[in-house]
Amino acid sequence: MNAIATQLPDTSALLPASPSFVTQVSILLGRLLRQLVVSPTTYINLAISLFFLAVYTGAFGSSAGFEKLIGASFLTFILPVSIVNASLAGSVAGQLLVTDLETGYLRRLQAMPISRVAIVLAPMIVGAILVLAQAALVLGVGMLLGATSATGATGLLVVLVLSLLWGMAFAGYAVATGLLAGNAAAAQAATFVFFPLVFLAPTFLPRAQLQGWLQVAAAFNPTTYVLESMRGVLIGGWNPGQLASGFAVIGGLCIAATLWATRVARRTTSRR
Amino acid sequence: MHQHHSPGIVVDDLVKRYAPDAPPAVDGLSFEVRPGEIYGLLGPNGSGKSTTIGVLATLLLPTSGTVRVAGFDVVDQAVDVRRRIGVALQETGVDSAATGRDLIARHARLLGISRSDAGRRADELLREFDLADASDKRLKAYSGGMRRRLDLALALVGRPSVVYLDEPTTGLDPISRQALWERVGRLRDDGVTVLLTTQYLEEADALADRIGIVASGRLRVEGTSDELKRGIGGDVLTVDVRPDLEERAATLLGGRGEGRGRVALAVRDGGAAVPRTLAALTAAGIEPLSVALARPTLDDVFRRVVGGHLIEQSEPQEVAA
Repeated sequence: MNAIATQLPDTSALLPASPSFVTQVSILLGRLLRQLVVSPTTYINLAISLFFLAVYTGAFGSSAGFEKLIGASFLTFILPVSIVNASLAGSVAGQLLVTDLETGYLRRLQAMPISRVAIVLAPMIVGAILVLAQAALVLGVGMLLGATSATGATGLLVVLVLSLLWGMAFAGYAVATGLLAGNAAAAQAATFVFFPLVFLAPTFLPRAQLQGWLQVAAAFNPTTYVLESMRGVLIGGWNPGQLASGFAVIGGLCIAATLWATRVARRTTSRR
Repeated sequence: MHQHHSPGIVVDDLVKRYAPDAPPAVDGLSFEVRPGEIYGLLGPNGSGKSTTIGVLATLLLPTSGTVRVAGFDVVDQAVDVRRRIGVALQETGVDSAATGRDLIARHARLLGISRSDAGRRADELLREFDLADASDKRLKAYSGGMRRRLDLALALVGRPSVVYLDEPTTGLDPISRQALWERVGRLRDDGVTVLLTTQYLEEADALADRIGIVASGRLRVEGTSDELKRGIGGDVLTVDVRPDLEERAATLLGGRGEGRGRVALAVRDGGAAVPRTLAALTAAGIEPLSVALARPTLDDVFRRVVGGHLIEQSEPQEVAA
């Protein structure tokens, strides 16, 4: 091969320094948040959560017998279900990432001098922000409508942390399944796992009131522990054992899902 | 490693297999792009062009061989490479909810340009690519031609020393294509090294300083457009004389009489052969009535090379298969 005939002067000194990892994440985050603000899907998900709250309360809320059975105001009892529903907003992380994969924008980012971790982390953080915002809004609406917290403001904070962990677990699941399937429709379809998770749980009645196989299924469903932990702090007061089991289950699930998502995302974005 | 110079692109014996038992998509490819040169990589579909660009853009890992871009190794110094390249690949998309200005400015900020400079750079590029009027429109409202111009603008945000353009004018109308050619041509004046792949042979002919033709993952031939055309057998010179002088003229010129006074002869370099032929005819007392010179097109070269016929003449750099 011939030697290179001419060489241009080195221009490295003129190159701007690469932005820090935090700056990279914040630039990518800003873009995704802007996308969410203009996306109707964001508001539809929130509306559905509030819709469920209204429908459940309208259907069962006026029944004194029912409230006696569950031992609390029905609104307070059902509020965690709406919060759990709102937390599904975490799945947006998967949809955002897969959309970028489909459009080729991810490929453009990969050819830039930025961290692969930043590329994957940004949508996960967006998922978390959306989960927190929606859960807080649903919780706020619930409180305005008359729901109560037996553990005061601290209890509400615990409910928000639980919803965040639940949302992040769902975000991890959505990222992994979406990237494995490789299209946004599949990422959306994967969120349908929500239905068995919510309906095979003590959603409308305390676990003790469930019968037969449903009670067994509920015992193996992580949603059960999220709902019971939230209801514990809202209705029953501080119960360290119940809270610990709730945090253990949802924390473990969150870690597992995040690790799975990271692994799949690393494989998707790495050079092969 | 400190770099004293920015050599263009050096690809040495590149092999890329997507699976250990799969046939190689790129099979021992070697070529160099000199600094400030526009190099056209041509080849049929599946010839390994896009895979090669993928490796050069640090999106794919080579199976073997070495690739250096702007003096940096694409495997071990990928970040250094990424800081110096601009990429307009076919499969790279945009965020269609963003505006053109947002997209370019964000791109600039990710490259380390300050927020205020990023805005200025975006405006500058939007003006340069005739997109200023659409700068605040969402990209979903951009036409195909506008998107291609934006692609090129994005590739140039960080003032890269090396730019990859993968079929940059596919789907553009002739006027937009011409405008984009002019802009790409100006990159040469700025000293930017450009690797261009295209399915339009006239595009390579118009833009590339040198052209490499790949088939089955290997470089089959490379040279300037003129060298490649001459390499497939030279030009055809046609001279019309009075019909009764045709035989004499054919003998004199060593050509072939084609009837009605027309003599055709193959010449190595048509430009030089025309005055020589006219002088010979005049000296022999034969008055030429008209002269026509037909040159092979890049299309002919491409068909010949990818059809499996290697160029036999020595002028262009023939590459050992």
